[in-house]
Formats: sequence, C-alpha cells, structure tokens
Amino acid sequence: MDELSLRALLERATSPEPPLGQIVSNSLRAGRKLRRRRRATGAALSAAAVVVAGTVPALTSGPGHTSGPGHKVIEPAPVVVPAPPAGAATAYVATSANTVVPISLATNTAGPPIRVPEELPASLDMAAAAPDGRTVYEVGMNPDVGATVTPIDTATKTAGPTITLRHDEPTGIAVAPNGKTAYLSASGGLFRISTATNTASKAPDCGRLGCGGAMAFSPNGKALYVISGGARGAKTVIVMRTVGNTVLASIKIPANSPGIPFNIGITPNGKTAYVVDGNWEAKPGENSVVPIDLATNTALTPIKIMAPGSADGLVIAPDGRTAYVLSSRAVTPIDVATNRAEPTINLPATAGYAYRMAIAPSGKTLYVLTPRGLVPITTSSRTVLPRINVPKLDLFTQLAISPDGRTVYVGARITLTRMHHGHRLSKFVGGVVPISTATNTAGGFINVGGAPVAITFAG
Amino acid sequence: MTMADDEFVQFAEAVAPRLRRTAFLLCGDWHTAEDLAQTTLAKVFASWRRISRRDAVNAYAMRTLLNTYLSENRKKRPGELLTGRLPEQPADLPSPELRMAVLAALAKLPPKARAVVVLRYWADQSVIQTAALLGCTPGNVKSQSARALDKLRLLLDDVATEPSPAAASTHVTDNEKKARHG
Repeated sequence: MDELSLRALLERATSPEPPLGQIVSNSLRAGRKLRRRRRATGAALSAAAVVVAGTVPALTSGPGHTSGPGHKVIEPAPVVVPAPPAGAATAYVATSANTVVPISLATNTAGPPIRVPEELPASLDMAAAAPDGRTVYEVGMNPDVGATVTPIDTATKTAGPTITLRHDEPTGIAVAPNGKTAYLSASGGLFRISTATNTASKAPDCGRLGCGGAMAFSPNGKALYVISGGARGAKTVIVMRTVGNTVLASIKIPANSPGIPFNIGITPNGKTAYVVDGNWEAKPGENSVVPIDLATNTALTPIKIMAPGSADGLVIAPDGRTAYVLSSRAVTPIDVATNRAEPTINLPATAGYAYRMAIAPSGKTLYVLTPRGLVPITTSSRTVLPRINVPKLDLFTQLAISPDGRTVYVGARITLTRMHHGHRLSKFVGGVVPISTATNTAGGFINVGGAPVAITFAG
Repeated sequence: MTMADDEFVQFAEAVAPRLRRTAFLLCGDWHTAEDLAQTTLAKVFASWRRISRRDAVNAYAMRTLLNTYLSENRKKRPGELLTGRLPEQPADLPSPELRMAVLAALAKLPPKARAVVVLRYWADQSVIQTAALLGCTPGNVKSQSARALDKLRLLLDDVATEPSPAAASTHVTDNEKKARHG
C-alpha cells in the first residue's frame, strides 16, 4: 500500500455519508452562546486584572519577555570563525513554488529563481550541498512518482535532470565527504546516487528504513550511520562503509518501545554517536538519548530526557563536549564525557513549540526557532537571551546558519494586506530574514516568492 | 443577521461537508463527527470578528477541529471500542466492509498519529503545514507519517491489493495473528 492507495482508501472510507444535518444553523446558535459566555468571562477577568495591577508592582521583562527589533543583546561577535567550505558564497532557498532562489551571502540579495523541471512538479522538501560547493541536491516528493532529487549546478545556476525513486517518501539526504556519492534515505530503504552520472541505486542489505532515515557520517567520512525505524519498532543503527557500500554492523537501540529514533549525531572525535529516541505521547522521562560507543559499535545505557514533549532535535557542539537535545519547549544539554543529562534549559513559555535548533560554528550560541521568533541561548552560561522578533512574520519554518557564522537565515512568510472596495485583501509572500549573530538583530525581508522549505549553502 | 454573520454562514456551508468528513476519519463515527464539526464551527463563529484575514479561516478551522478532537481524546481515550481483530474482508470489498477495515486500522493509531495521516493523506496538508497545525517539528511529522504508514500497511495490505477470496482468507488469519501478538 503506498500513499496513493491510502488516499483512495480514506476517500472510500467516508462514503456513503449520512445527510448533513443542521450543522450550520446549530453552530451559529452555539457560536452566539459561546461568544456571549466569552464576553462575560472576559469582562470578569479584566475586572480582576485591574485589581491585581493596582496591588502588585509591574513585572520586569526578563529573558523571553521581550522584544522589539531595536533591543540590545550583549553577545560579542564570534572570535574564531571557521573558514567556509570552498566557495560557499550563496544560500540556496528551495521554495514551495518549485523554485530554488540563490541569495548572495555578501549582499543578502536574491538572484533569479532557478526552476526545477516542470514535467516533474514536486513539493521540495530538503537539500544538501556537495563538499566542493559545485552542486546542491534538492529533494522533493511528487505525488504521482515518489521521491525526486534534482541536482543544481551552482556555477551556471541551472537545474539538471531530475532523478526519481518510485513510491518512496524521502526522509534525508547527505553527500559523502569525498563528494562521490549522495545518499538519500527513504521509507523504502537507502539509495546511493552517483554524483558523476546522477544515477540512483538501492543500497543492498539496508532493508526498509520505516520511520528512521536520519543519517550522519563519521568525521573521517569512511562510515555512514543510518537509522532504521523498522515496521514493528525494531530500531537499529546501520553502519555502512562508504567505500564499497557494504553494511559493517547493525546496532540495536535498546530504548523505550514507543519511542521513534528521530535523529543521530556524531562527536567530532568520532568516538560516540547519539540517537534521539522520542515519543510524541510521552510523559517526562519517557524520551531518551542513546549513546553508542563507535569503537565497539554497542549502544550504552539510554540517558533519560526529563523535559516534557517529544525530544527530536539534536546538535553536537563543535568542541565535542556537549550534545544538545531539543524537546517541544526545552533544550537538554548532555555532557559527552560522562553521558549525563545536565539541567534543562527551558524556553520562554510565550515562544510556542520549538521547531528547529542550530549552533553557531563558534559554538557560543545555540539558536532555537519557534513560531514566535528565534531564541538565542548562550552556551557557556546556558542563558536564554531575549527572543528575536521579526516584524510581520506569521510563520517560521527554516533555520540555517551561514558557514562563516555571521548570519542566521530564518524562513518566513509575510502577509501583504491592502483594501479593495472596502474589503481587506491579503496574500502571503515567502522569503528569508537574515539575522546578524553579532548583534542578534533582524535585517530586511528577502522575497523568494513561495514559502521557503529548505536552505543550503554552496558556491 | 449582520454582514459578518452572512459571511460566516457562507463559509460554514462551504466547509461543513469536508470538515465533517475529516472529523469522521479522525473519530470513526458520523455522530461524533457531526458534533466535532459543529463545535468547531461554533468556535470559529465565536472568533469570527477577530479572524481578520479571511484566507486564514480554513487553517483556523482545521486547527480548531484538531484541538477539539485531541482534547476529547485526552478526556476519554480511545473514543471507539477496539475489537482486537479486523472485520472479515471479502474479495469484492463492498464499501461497508472496506470502511470498517480502514476505520479499524486507523483506530489502532494513537490520536496524534491518526491526525497526521488524516491531515497529510486526506486533507492535503504539507509536512510543514501539519507541523504547524499540530505544534511539533516537521521531522516529527515525517517520522510519525512513516511509522503510521508502516502500521497501516501491515493492517491494510489485503484491502489495498484486493486479493482473491482464497488469498484473502489466509491474509486475514495472518493479520489476526499480528493483531493478537502486537
């Protein structure tokens, strides 16, 4: 059963349907009642608020209770800035309009959109750049075909012929450090794409990856670690030699059974891998992170994550001392030396559920993206800095830090509204907002047309 | 009725059928689906004047429906009786049996995973839209979809491939075994 027949089954499951009752008139009546009740409660609450405000001093704004774009944040510019990969001068933003828009990192201006071949319209989803910066691989999903991979030549800014993988939902893409192979993980298995010929072949012995698919390379690039989710909860990490593409080992994850292995990261010294095993319906403590000793390829005792909500994000600090695990409303640092969870860093209650997390190349600041703004966290003191609001944004989806560490790019949509014959007309425009890491302030909105779905850096 | 009320009635008449169908896939019975759709529309009406952007109303209604469904499920979970065995599936699969099989399979998913399947494969929401509606990360949505699809595949393969009567009976036995042994 693939996605297409599931849709057909769902469609058929809703028919025949009984005649529609008086839903509209009933909801109008119930809605009026609800509105009256809300008004009554609202009046009572604001009366109470007046009393409280008269007796209690006003709250001072602490971290997370701010902020406008003009606020000051004490965060010195990174001292050590690692060199960007060869020729990384451009951010490539994939959009929901089936285009890829190059943005110059120097000037923050958008170039002409690169159109992904029309004959295979796919909702673009994620991207990865080759280490030499010459090619960006854009991954999409075409409802009639399956996963698609479109190489973009960064020198000519043109899209190459699209590679298709029938009936597979893509879950991850990574390009080997030697640049010879791109790996695409999909629900049906692991696929290798030869970057020389742009042809795909299924990696043998990997089996279905199910709800897995997260991947990480060893620092020397000789091994690829792929999470397999298994159909019945058999969670493993598959270790594959990148030369010869043979499976070296399959490491069982002995975690809580309802968890989903969302993410994998490897310490820069190549000694330990961490797998985030999260559970959406979990109580605090039911999520865990499983450390894996890569010398012996064995899973160690899982580390419990006490933060509420599903743990799913993971970044490892560039110095390799700390792994940060993102839950719905908190970040849990893990001490790599002892494999112990350190005190939870709670995100501001007003920020909403966290979407994504990234760490600056200097390792000094961790950035967490939430629907209401970007939350910077100073890693040395574990201090949550004031949320960076960007005016008029109503949806944040993407987060990427430029290789030089100077700019955080946040994907966003703005709503343009105008009055027309007394009616308010509004439309969405997608783009990215650059945020300076030196000052933690947002720059101007860069229009890319459709909603931004992936941001990658290359030549 | 005011102009805003008229606008709401127009909107409600347009979305009510689909909203009720989405609710049906979430909860599994038409009466509850009608209640869910009605409660959703009542909540939308109560906030109608605040929702100034009319193009956001659909998303607002969908989010309200989900919140209503998920909070109902928190109170009393699960909403339907689980029988532990799938209904028999004859080869020609007339609609009632098909519906029972699909609903029985959906009922085996946890509420949020069921919401992910309905949103992505029925309500045509993208990964990012689903994440925004459910308040979680896009990665979480993808993993949940993959896991839910695997489970549904296991439960529904016989239905999807519509086997011969002989094959159908063996598959039902296999599925019963899987259902019993988890």
